[in-house]
Amino acid sequence: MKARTISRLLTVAAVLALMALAMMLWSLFDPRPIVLVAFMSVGQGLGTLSLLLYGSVLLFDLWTARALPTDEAQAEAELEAKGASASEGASASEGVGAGENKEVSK
Amino acid sequence: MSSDTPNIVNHFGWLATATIGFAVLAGAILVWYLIQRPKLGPGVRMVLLFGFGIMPVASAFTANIAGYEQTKRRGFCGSCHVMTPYTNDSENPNSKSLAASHARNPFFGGENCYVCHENYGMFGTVVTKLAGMRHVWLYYTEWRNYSIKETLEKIEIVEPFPNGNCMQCHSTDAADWSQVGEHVAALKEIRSGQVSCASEGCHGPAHPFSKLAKKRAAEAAAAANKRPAEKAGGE
Repeated sequence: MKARTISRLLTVAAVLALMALAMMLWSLFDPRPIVLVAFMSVGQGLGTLSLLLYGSVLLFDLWTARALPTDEAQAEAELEAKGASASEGASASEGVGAGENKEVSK
Repeated sequence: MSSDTPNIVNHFGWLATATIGFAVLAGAILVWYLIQRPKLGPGVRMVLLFGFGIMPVASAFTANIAGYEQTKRRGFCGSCHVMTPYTNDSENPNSKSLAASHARNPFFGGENCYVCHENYGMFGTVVTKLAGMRHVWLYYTEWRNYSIKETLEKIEIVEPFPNGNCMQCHSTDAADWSQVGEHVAALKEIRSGQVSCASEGCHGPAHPFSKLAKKRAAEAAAAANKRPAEKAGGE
């Protein structure tokens, strides 16, 4: 799922949730049988759908966070990689120096 | 909808206020998200959880309770025009009907339709609400075009009014109740429902026009039987 799809899903979920809230409030202020029954049912159905959409986005987000490194984790990994290569270089140079010293001592 | 349909906010202040409060908070979060389009970080996720989940669920929860309480009000029953003769009778301070005398009792008050017609028992509330759904269906498919005259002639309670609903308050074991000779004589029949408390000659009819359809049908049948007899007599 791309970032654009996630954004679209969240937009749809937000609009559905707003519609659900409006319907529930409407049935509060206009408590006729059909309004109360229909708007409460449809409104809560829409609200549930919007929550499910948001939940699916969250789950996908968590799943991708495990599968793929986040920006910070990626930056840290790059730093670690740089650090490791630098220390390897240093130890290699130390090794070379020690050999030279050994050769000198010989 | 009758003009005296009560506004829910007036009747269930704190529930309605809570519903509106939760809904406004959720709405504010959602509108903020739609306008600002923030990046979906941990903080935004948490805020959106309130906007999509916690606040709307809390709003729906309180709205359901408020809605349920609203369906118990007499004004709600009277919001369908076919019920207005019944609610008008209940609200009439001069009416001597069973329904009106119960409506004047503070225990029943503005919920007298529901208190009497709610089925007694463990699932009474659920059964009553399901029956109410049937009423909504019948109203919108059939009764909505009835005039009041047609209403009184055609619409009747679906099954005889159960005595158990009366016995919730009027116990057949109470000393006062047993002092009435007719009660003692018909105790078995009353408890089994063979004799209705709300029958004519006992304490009913509950509404002045409850038995109108049956009464008219009986009169019509009697008149129809009378005509051949008169013809035969004339010949």
